[in-house]
Amino acid sequence: MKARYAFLLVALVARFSFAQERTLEERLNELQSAIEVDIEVFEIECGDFEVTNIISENCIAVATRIGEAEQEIANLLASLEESMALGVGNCGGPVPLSPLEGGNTQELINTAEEAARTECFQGEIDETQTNCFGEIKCVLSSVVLPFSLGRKEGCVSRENNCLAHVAQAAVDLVWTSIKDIGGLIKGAAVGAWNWLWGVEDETSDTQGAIQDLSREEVEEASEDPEGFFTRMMKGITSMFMEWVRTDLFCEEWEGEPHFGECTRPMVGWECLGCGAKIKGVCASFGAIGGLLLESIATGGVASLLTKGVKGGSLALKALKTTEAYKNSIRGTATTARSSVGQAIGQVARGSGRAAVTAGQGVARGLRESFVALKGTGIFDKASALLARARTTLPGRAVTMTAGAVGRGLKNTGKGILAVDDAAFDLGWNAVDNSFEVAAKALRGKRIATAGVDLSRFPIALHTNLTDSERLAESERVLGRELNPTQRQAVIDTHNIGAGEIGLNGQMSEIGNYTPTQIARKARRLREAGFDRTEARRLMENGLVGTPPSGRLLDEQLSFLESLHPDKRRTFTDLLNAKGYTGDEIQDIFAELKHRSGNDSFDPKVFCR
Amino acid sequence: MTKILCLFFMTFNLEAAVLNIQGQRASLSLGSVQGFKLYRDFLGLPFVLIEQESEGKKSSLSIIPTGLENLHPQEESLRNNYGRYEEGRRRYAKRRGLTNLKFLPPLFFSNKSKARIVSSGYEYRKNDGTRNLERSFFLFCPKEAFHLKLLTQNDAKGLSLLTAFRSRLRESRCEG
Repeated sequence: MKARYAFLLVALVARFSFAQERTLEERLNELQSAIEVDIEVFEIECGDFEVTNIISENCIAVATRIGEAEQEIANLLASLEESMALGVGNCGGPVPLSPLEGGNTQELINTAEEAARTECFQGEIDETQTNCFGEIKCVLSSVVLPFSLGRKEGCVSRENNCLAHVAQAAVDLVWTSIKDIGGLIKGAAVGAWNWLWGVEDETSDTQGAIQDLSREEVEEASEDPEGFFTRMMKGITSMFMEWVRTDLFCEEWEGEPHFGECTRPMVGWECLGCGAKIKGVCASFGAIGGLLLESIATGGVASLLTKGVKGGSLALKALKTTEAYKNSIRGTATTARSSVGQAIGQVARGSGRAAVTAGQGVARGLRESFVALKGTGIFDKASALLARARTTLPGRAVTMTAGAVGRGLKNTGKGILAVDDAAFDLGWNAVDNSFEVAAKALRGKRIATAGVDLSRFPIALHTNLTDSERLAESERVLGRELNPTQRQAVIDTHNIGAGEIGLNGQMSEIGNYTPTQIARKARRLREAGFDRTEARRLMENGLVGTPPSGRLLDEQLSFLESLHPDKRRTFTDLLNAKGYTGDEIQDIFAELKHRSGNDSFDPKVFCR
Repeated sequence: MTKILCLFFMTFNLEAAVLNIQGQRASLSLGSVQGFKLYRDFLGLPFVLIEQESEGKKSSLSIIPTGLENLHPQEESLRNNYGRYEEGRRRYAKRRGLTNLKFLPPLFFSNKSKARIVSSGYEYRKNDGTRNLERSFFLFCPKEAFHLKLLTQNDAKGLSLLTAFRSRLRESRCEG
């Protein structure tokens, strides 16, 4: 039984891989690894629930995931079939919402052939360019923006509308369009995160683009958004034009094609009419369109594109330096159709037909595999288990899956990021250090009043002193004056490790130095004449350390509250093991309560 | 001691101004952080604080009034369902080519008006090598909920900013 599932799953993934639908393939890979484990667990732990009538929480979780996977596979399949029906990256006619997945090989071939035949004079080139930019601007004006951008009607056709689509996709990346957030949140109680996905994606895109803008560009986008986007769209268009001319259809390379320099860009390209150019650009979107969008969101290309035509060339250069571009170009058949001429045209024409035929075959084969998997009855069985659970376990949150998912996968040994695990992964050791700091400060003291000041965290405070204060405090702690060499050594040692990665993989800071960093600090002090005891005292008092981040002093206090009770109990045990009395532990918790500023914070829960 | 206390929060504690973020049903009184400027209707964001440094990567805090009133967070459920937040971010990261994802724990705290604040976040590496940190805050004022997100670099300065803005949120007030 298991082998049969495995075979079918492999078949599913293999077919998807062949389709080279990257996004879909990746999602299917995720589904595969998840459902593979689930099916196995379901068979072993839950397979005989109808006989035993025992339904564990884990079985509910596993069955729920299997059901979700079934739905998602069905959706992916529908998407794939839809794209096949629409044609691969068709530049005309109804364009799917995401027109950048494919590339229209046939259009490219036609454009290349036309360009190869065309000869023209410079005057014609200039005239074509002028007309073309007019048409491009007109097409781009169809992009939906909060302003008109000189909107003109009637210039968008089947042959150029893909340009509007790619511009729209680019604009959407830098322009937040949170639509109907109210519609995403049903009811007055918020108990899930998924309704925030859209908001999260939108804000991340826009803020990601903001991150790379200069101050001048920020001001410009604020004061003249129309001009900002006009230039960006010009940049996008010129970038694609440049890419087609100097890369896709480059006639002579110095060095490796596509990675070296194009010494002879396609001459005929300049002679093409505007419609043919746009068709060629549209046809090439499939190859680098997705990369362009990704770069706008993550690589600072947005900033270049806002410089208009000139920025387009710069953006292309930037894009070509990325690993993603290199991998993409190596992974496509672009090399095979890089030269212009009849021979390449024939090759490309053949591969174009083959691609369409293969795509349809993939969709058909995928559907067959999916049907076969359904035929095993695994989906029905999972569904039956959930139905049984709903009737036999009233009140159980059968449909609320995420928490159960975490528990379920943990039980199967896969491990998933349940909240307490995430907190634990983030830096339990650092939490420990934070408590250590608090505990040291509080040891032997009593909290006389409710108000607790930061003097209870002397180590943390010492890290934030100015140089002169640091030196004065060092002399006070050591009970003697420092000579000039030693004074310089204190400052130097304070800076050792700053900006470096610390023990837990985050930035180094007090409580998070690697052994090597600590050794370097100790060595620097010893070289200046501090003895071992003095060096240790300076270090333990935070006088030669980097200030702790918010994570250590503030953030952690809050996320302690989110730790699972088991972890809290573990921490109490830890404090006990370190010799703190119950009163001292209570003091620490009182401090935390004060610092957390959270009225619902109940220190007693730590001590259960 | 007072001097030392001041030094402790010296870097980002010098408040530039208290901002009045006007939503559809309520407003939010939120302290800014020095070096940031508030922009309205910026690239589709109703409100965004953008770092004014001329060089380098810009940190920003977006603020979106949702228009939704009387929302109440189910904190236990949110704790238990944090995997759903992670799932959403993983999907986004895959689309954008982000790597080295590391999730920050969910946080639950209150502001001065006793409105609850739920926070989620994660760290990642962009394909140009930039290491970023994002933390979102959903602030449940009785008459209107607000969504805020800080995007900054994952370094000492970014973490200080995170602490500073979180402190501002603690000190914030719901009005109207």
